[in-house]
Amino acid sequence: MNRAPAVRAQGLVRSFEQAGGTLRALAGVSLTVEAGEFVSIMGPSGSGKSTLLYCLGCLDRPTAGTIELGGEPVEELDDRSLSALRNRRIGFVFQSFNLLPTSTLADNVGLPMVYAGLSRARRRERAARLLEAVGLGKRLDDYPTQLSGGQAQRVAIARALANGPAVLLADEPTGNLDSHTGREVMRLFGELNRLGLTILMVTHDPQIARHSGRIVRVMDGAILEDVPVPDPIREEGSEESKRLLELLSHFGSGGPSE
Amino acid sequence: MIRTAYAAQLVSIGVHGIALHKLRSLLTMLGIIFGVAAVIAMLAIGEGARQATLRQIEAYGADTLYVRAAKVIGDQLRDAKRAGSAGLSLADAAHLRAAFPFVLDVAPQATVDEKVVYASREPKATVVGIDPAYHRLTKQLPDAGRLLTQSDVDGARRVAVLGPSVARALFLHEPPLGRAVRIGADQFEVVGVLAGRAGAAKAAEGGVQIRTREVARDVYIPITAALEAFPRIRDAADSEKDPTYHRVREMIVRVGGTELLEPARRALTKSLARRHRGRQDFEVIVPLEILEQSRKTQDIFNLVMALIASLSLLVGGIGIMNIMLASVTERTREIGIRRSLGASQQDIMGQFLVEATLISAAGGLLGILGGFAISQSVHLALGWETRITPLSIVLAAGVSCAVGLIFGFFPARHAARMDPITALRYE
Repeated sequence: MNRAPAVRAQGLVRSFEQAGGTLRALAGVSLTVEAGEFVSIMGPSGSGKSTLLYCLGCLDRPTAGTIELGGEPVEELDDRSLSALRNRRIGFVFQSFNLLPTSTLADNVGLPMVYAGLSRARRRERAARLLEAVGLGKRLDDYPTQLSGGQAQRVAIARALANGPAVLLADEPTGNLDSHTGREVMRLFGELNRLGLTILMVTHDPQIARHSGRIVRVMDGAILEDVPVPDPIREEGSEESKRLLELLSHFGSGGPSE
Repeated sequence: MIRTAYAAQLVSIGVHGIALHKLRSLLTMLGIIFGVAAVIAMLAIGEGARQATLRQIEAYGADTLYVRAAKVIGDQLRDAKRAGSAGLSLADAAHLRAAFPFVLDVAPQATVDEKVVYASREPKATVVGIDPAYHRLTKQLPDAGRLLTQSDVDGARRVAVLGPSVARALFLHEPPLGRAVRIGADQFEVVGVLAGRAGAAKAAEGGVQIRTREVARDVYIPITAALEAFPRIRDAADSEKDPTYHRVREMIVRVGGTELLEPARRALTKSLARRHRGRQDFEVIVPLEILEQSRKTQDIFNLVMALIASLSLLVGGIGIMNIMLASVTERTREIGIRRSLGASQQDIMGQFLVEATLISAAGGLLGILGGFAISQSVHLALGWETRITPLSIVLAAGVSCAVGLIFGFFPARHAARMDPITALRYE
C-alpha cells in the first residue's frame, strides 16, 4: 500500500491578473495531508482558502509551486490526464450542492461515472446503491428541485463518492444548511473519514471545524497556524452511515472498482 | 466498449439538451430545414430535367436535324417569288437525299388544314402528309394494319394511318381498318393505326423548345396525296401568305452521326440557299443544340438554387452558432460542475459539438422530408419531372452534419475553454 501523503503542496503561489495589478490569492503555501486525515481549512473571506482547495483538487493550476497527489506530481499533466485524475481520485462537495437541476438524482450521481466510461446500466445500478446509502434510495428518478438542502447535499456527497475517490474536497459543505442538518453532514464525513477517506474541508464555522482532526488557518494567502484539534467531535454513527460504510468497503478507494 | 458507451452518453446528453428547449431547437433548425429542402428539391428537379432531356434525345434521335420553313410575307414573299424560289418543296427533299452522302434519311412533312370526318364525327386531329421515312425517323410502329409505304407515296394513294386517339374518337368500338374517312372532299382508306407512344408528348412537357405534335391525334397520309388533293397548305387563310409557297413545312434529316450535325447544317444551309436563289426562307435546326441550350438554362437555374440553398444553410448555421452560444452561457455552471467531476476540455467540447450536430442533423432530416414535399409539389403544379436520387439524400445529410460541426465548433470551444472555477461560481 502506498504510504505517500494523500496531498502534498510546496510553495504554492496563485496570482490573478487584475485591472488594478496582480492579486496574489496564494503566496507560497506548503501543506502536507497524510492519507486518512480530516483537515479543516479556516480563514476569513478572500484569505485564499478556496483557491487552495481548488488548486489541490486540480481544478485550478497554481502559478508556481508543486502539488503531489498520493505521491504523484501533477504539474506536468495535461488537461486530459488532470481531468482523469480529478475524476478517479478526487470528490468535490460544494456549498451550493451544484446538482444539475434538469437531471434526475440517479443521473446526477452517475455523472462522474460518465467520464469514467461506465455503461448506463452500471451507472444506474451504482447510483442506486449510493443513493440508498445516503437514505435516498427510493428517489432515483426525482429531480434536485424536489429536495431539501440536507437531502441535496447528501446527493452531492453520493456523487462525490461515485468513483471511489481517495480525497474528498469540501468547500463550505454546511454553509447553506441549518445547524441540525449541518451536523448530519458532519456525521457522514466522520464515518467516511473513519473508513480511510482523506477529507479537506474549507469552513469558516469553528463548530463545524471541530469535527475534523486538524485545523489549518489561512490569512492573506499564507498559512497562519496549523494545529491539531484536541478533542474532535465524533457524532454517533447512524443507520445511514453504517450502510455507507458497508457500501464503500465494496468500492475500495483510489478509483472505481472496474 | 468504453468509447461506445461514451459516444452514446454524449448523444443522450445532447438529446436531453434539445428536448429541454423544443421550440427553441425547432426554430434553430428552420434555416437548415429550408436549406436542405432546397438542395433536395433542386437536385430532384435537375435530375428530372436531365432524365427528360435524355429521353427526348432518345425519342428524336441525337443525329437528326430539322429543316423548317421560315415565315415569309409581304415584300420578302414577292421578292422570293420573283427570284424563282417556291419555298421548301419535295424537290428539296429529293435533292438532299441525292446530293449528300452523309444524309441517311430525309422525311418531309406537309400539314393539311382539313378536318377528318367519319359518320359525322369530327374529332380534333392534325392531318399530316408524310413519306415512310417519317415513320422510320420517329420510330413509329403500327398497332393494327400497316404504316405508309413508298408505293403509297409514289402512287399518291388515298390511304391514311391514324393516331390511336383519333382512331378511337372516329370509330369508337368499330374496327377502323379498311373503312374510309373523309378529309376535305376526298375519301381516304384507313390502312393502319399507330401504337401509342408516350415519348414525344412527354418530351414536350420537359419545356424544351422543339415543336412537337401529339402523335395520338395525328392522321398521316402520303405527302404526294396531300399536295395533290389539298393545294392550300395550313395557315394559307392568312392573306399575307401564298398557298403555293412552302408546300413542305418541315423536313427531318438524319445524318450518319452526331459529329456530322454541324458540318451537315452548314452544307444543307448553303445548298438549300442556292436552290432558293439566295433567299433565307428556311431554317436548319439541330435539336441536340436546343437540348444543350436547355441544359444551360437548367444550369443557371441550378446555380441560383444552389446559391439560395447555400445562403439558407449559412443563415441556418449562424442560427445554430447563435443558439449554441446562448446555450453555453446558460449552462456555464453546468460546465463548471462537469469539469469538477472529471470532464476534460475535450469532453465538454464533444458535448456541445454533438448537440449542435444533432440539431443540424435533425434539421437535415426534416429538410429531406421537406425536399420530397417540394419536388412532389413542383411535379404536380408545374408538371416538371423530378427525381430524388440516393446521392442527394446522402449529400444533404452530410451537408447538414457538416454545418452543425462547423458552426458548433466556436461555441463548443468557448465552452471547453471556460475557467472551471469561474464557471462554478457563475450565477
